[in-house]
This record gives sequence, C-alpha cells and structure tokens, in this order.
Amino acid sequence: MTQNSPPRTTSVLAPQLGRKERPERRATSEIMRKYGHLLFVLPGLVFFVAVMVGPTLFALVISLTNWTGRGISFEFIGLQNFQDALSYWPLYRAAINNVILFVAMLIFQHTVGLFIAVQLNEKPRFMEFYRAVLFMPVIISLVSTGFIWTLMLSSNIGFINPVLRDLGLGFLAKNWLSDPATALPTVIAVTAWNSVGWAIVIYLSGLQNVPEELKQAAHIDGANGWQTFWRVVFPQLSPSFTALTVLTFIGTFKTFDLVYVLTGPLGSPNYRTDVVGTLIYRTAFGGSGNYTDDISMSFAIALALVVFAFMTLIAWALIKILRRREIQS
Amino acid sequence: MANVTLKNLTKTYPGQVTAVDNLSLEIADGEFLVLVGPSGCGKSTALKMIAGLEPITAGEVLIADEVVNEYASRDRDIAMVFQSYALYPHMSVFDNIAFSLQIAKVPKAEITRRVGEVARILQLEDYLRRKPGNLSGGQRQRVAMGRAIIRQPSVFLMDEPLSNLDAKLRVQMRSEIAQIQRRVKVTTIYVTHDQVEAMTMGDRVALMKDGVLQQVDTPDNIYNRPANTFVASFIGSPSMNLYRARLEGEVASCTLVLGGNRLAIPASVFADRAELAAKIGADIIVGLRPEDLEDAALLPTHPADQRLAAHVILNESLGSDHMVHFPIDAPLAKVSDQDSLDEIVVAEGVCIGRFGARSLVKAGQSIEVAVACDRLHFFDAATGLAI
Ligand SMILES: Nc1ncnc2c1ncn2[C@@H]1O[C@H](COP(=O)(O)OP(=O)(O)OP(=O)(O)O)[C@@H](O)[C@H]1O
Ligand SMILES: [Mg+2]
Repeated sequence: MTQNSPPRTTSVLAPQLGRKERPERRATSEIMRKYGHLLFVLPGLVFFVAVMVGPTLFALVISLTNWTGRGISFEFIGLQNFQDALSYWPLYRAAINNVILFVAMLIFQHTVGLFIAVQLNEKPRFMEFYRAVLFMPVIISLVSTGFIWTLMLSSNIGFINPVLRDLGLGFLAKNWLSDPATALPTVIAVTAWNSVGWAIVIYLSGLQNVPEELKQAAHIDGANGWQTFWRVVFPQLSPSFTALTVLTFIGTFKTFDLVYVLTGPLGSPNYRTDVVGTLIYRTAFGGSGNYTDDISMSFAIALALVVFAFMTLIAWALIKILRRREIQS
Repeated sequence: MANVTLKNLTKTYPGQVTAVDNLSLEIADGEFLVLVGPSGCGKSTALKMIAGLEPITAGEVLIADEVVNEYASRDRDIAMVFQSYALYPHMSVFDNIAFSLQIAKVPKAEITRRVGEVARILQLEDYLRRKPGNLSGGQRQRVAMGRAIIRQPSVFLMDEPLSNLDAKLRVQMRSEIAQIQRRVKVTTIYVTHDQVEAMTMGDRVALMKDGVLQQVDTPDNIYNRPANTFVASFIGSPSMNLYRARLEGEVASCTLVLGGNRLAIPASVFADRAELAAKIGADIIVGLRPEDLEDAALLPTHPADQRLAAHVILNESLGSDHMVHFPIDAPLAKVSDQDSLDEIVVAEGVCIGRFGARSLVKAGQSIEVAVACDRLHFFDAATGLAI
C-alpha cells in the first residue's frame, strides 16, 4: 500500500498540473470527483479495521479450532465450539446473574437516578458540587472502586460492619461478599454506587431540555407538581430513558472488572456472583493458579462471540422498541 | 368573566433589575387590552405576575376584585397562550385541548363534547388525533387557543402568540383571535411588540417602556394624541418625524420655525391645546406624521405658507404610496430605546413623507412639501410630554 500510494497520488494531482493527455486526465478526475471524499474516511477506516474488524475475524477463525491457548497445535473442528457453548449450562447460570444485575440496575437508575436528577434540576445551592460528587464514582477506575469496597466490606478491617456494630445494629453485620445470600446484592449495590452518576447526568440533561413554559402551561391548566411531572415532564424524558436503558444493558452484560475484584474469577461464593465476563475469563485463562487443564482459549472465544451476538440482538431490539414510544417531533 | 386590576405592580429581579415599575392598570370585564412596548420593557414579566408564574415584588393583582397575589396559577381562573405555544408534544391535539378538563376530572362524555365544540370553532376537527409536531404553525397556534378557551376562564393572557408565524398567517390569525375574543367575551390581556397588532386588535392599548407605563388609551387616541415623544415615535410606521423647533409670533398669526423653514400654524391648533400658547417663543419638539406630508404638486390649493422646501434623497415606492426621504436642517429630537418591528432606520435629520401614488418625485429633485399644519404634534422640549 505504501509503495503503491505515491504514484497514485501523483496521478491524482496530475490533472491540475495538466501534464497528461486529455482522455486519461478526464478519467482520473471523474473517479476523484465521485470517490475522492472517501479518502477522508480512510485513516479512521484503516484504524477501525486494524483494531476491531481484524481481531474479530481472527477470533472467529480461532473459535473454529480447538486451540487451548498454549502451544501451537490445533485442528479445525468447525462449529463444535459454538454447539458446545449453547449447551454449556454455566453460561446460562452466569447469564442469569447478568440478567438479575441488569434488572436491579435498571430499577435503581430509573428510580433513584431519576429522583436525584430531578432534585438537582431544581438548581439547589452547590448544585455543581453535588453533581461532581455524584458523578465521581463513574470516573474512578473500576479496579479501584472494587478494591475500596472490598476493604470497606471486609469483616475484620472493614468499615461497614464496625459502623453497624457501633450503631447497635451488629446483628446486620455480615460477611457481605462471602455469604451466598448477600454476595450478589452486594455486587449490585457497588455497581449501583458506581454508575448512578450516569443516570443522573443523562436524566439531568434530559430535564434541562424540557422547556420551562411546558411546566408553566401545565400549572395553569391546573396540574399539581406531581401531575405536571408524570404527565408532562416525564414523557419528555423518553430519549433519556432509552439511552439509559440501553447503556445499562450493555454495561451490566459486559461487567467484569468490578466482579473480578470483589469476588474473584470464580464468582464466589459457589458461583453466586459469576457473570459471563468472569466465566469467559476463567475459561480462557484459568480460574485459579493451580490447575489449568480445562483452559480453552478457542471455547472461551466461542462463548464471547455467542454473548456478543445475543447482546447485539437484544440491544438492537431494545432500541427499536424504546424508540417507537419516543415522541416524534 | 372578570375585571383585572393592577395596583402599583412592581417586579425587581435579583441584581436590582426593575423589570416592571409601579404598573397600575384597570381592565374592564370583557375588554381586550393590548400591552405593547419594545423588547425587554417588562411585558412578559407583567403578564407572568398576573398569571402567578412569577412572584410579585410589590403591588397587587386583583381578578374579579379579589387580590390574587397569594393564589397559585391554577386557582386564578386564567388561561394563557404562550409565545412558544408550549403544546404538550407527546399528546394528541385532543389531549392537549382536553388536558385541563382531564386534570379537573370532568366526565369523559363532557370532555368529548366540549373539545368537539372548541375544535369546531377553531376548525381543528380534522386534526384532533395528530401530535403537535405534525401540525403547521397556524394549526399549532389554534391548538394553543383551544387549550385556553376550553376552560372558559375569566381571563385570557397571551404572550406574543403570533410572533412565530409568517407575515401572512399573522394577519389572518390576528383577525381570528380578535373575532374569537369578541365571541367569547373574555377579558384579555395580549402582549405584543408589534404595533400593528396593538392598533388593530385592542379595545385599548397600554404602552410600556423600561417597565414604566407610558400611556393607556384607545388605539385612535394613542395614535392621534400620543402622550409623549416615545409613544409618538413607537406607534406609527414609518415613525413620526420629530424635530426641535420654535414657535414665533402670537396665537392669531403663529409661525413654526423649523430649521430654515417657516410654517404657518392655524389658530385652531391653539384652541385644542390650552398650554401651547404659553410656549410661543420657547423651544419645543414638533412631530410630523409621514402621512401629514404630501407632494405639493398634488395639492395645488395648499396654502403657500404651509410648505417646506426639500431636496429628495430617496424615494421608496410601495405602489400604493411613496416613502420619500428628504433632509430637514432642523436638529432631530432623538427618542431613546425606539424599537418597533418594522422600524425604518433613518439617517440623522432625514424626514420621511408618505406621498400619494400619483406623485412623480424622484431622488435628486428639489420639491415643495405640503404640511398639514393643523395636524402637527407638539411636545415639551425638556420632558418630551405632549402639549
Ligand atoms: N429571570 C430573570 N432574571 C433577571 N432579569 C430578568 C429575568 N427575566 C427578565 N429579566 C429582565 O427583565 C426585563 C423585562 O423582561 P421581559 O421578559 O418582561 O421583557 P419583554 O417586554 O417581555 O421583552 P420581549 O418583547 O423581548 O419578550 C429585561 O430587562 C430582562 O432582562
Ligand atoms: Mg416577552
């Protein structure tokens, strides 16, 4: 490509220099005129192909083999990995945890997130401060978030349990992350803490786009604050609702780092917090340092591609459905 | 049905911006009052205080002789039409119009009947199921009207309801709104900065400037007897020509010295203006409406001592008449904050006359201009108040 491009560029510029004979000159400038603009897309396209399309295709090829990830011996086994993936029950166990996380987060974002956004939209004093504080967790790296929370939740040196005890609520103290009953809810709570900033920012921007006069009109029409919000303001927020729902879906289904740091690659205790992210990681790189027999890179990739396909389908359907109920303007 | 009274209504925004200053007005039951003034003079603020959308700093608002300062908007029995229409975008036209009744839990059958009735008046029957986004500007405007009239309120408040429409539709909706108001006979306060709307729609016109009421009167009186130079220059298009001048002589044979020109002032002028005689010899401001100036060639019988010598610098022909620009060598009386929509910017000292269609004057010609001296306006040179 690098070798080819200089002469091509010359011929592209040639018409302006006027050195070539007429017919060819015509032809080049014709092509240039029709497709010249594509040159501007080229750098981005090359980059996209190099880091997205290329590796994905490469992964697809690997998923058709039985390569374990170590050594160089492999055979093509066709779609066997995909067939296995679809009937691999740990995948469903993990996916159900993702679904639980998604539903819980969805409810949380659309209630607590919306509520806080509405409060901030009333322009309280120090609004910038609240907004910054509430958005802060979003920009903290997930690994740090996980680590901070592991420390806070730790039964011995932690923060939560001692506080509960000091408040006389000692009976509520738990081994939050190792108790099967509380492990997943705890992961949900930390994820919620971490991502409520998104909900607030998205809803806040939606709220700020609702014209003041719309609310005033509703007031004059006799609506009280509650009716004004639910019947006039909230329907204007459906684009925010759509964006947030889709982002939450994607976010909860690709979650990995937070779970990994909080409860490890096995989704302990007893896979209660196992999500597709940790499952795929474990399948590809092994769950614990000791035994690595069941590692299979090609199978992990097949799992990842299956999840990818399903997520694409569901995200597309979500957008399709939610867009339809948005206001046409 | 109700009368509306404003008593010393004042609004000061944080930062000491006095948007409305001591506004007192009485609007009779069923009256159509137009509140007009340049941009930023506090019209919307006044309206919002009446509507209960903006807290009142001082003064009182009375609706049906009841002080409503502490009432919420929904308890004031008013309806408002917004400049942006503020239609609920997610609701059909039907629901937009019916919203207030739905909130008030009016029975469904009655809602349907009343919406049908309003839709018939406003010719919206074919659009009831559409969303506002799929309507034309004029149709949206009518939906906004429908939303206001369905409630059968005591008072309509309208804030520049036509300013988002194109010129032609504006003319049409202007008469429609006036007709609807006459039919339903609801007290109406209509805010605009368009002087044509002010002159054609209202029973009375209230003109504001910088939050201060300048004059309230019928459109005819506002036009013919403006209370001060601001009113004089705001109402009328092109605006009134205002010059510093002097009266000389005595009542029976008075002369107006306007730069290098002298105009004879008929004695009848003094009969109408008791204080004018006392101003003989003093500096005054004289106002000449463009239509009181005419090409002298079209008026051969016009008295010779009521003419100006002029040199035409521009002739804008409108077909029906000509806007002829000519300088007068008298000092121009400037009125600050002049701002009407169809303002014509005039070079300093240039006077505009509206000449008849048959006038043949051309730019570059020296002509004689006939002045209707019995129709001149006189203002105090210091205060700008009408004499
Ligand atoms: N919320 C506010 N805070 C501070 N000043 C304001 C506020 N609203 C309006 N003002 C000021 O009050 C004055 C009057 O504003 P208002 O909106 O009533 O003008 P208006 O006559 O309706 O003008 P327009 O014809 O442009 O709509 C203006 O100087 C404006 O800058
Ligand atoms: Mg306004």
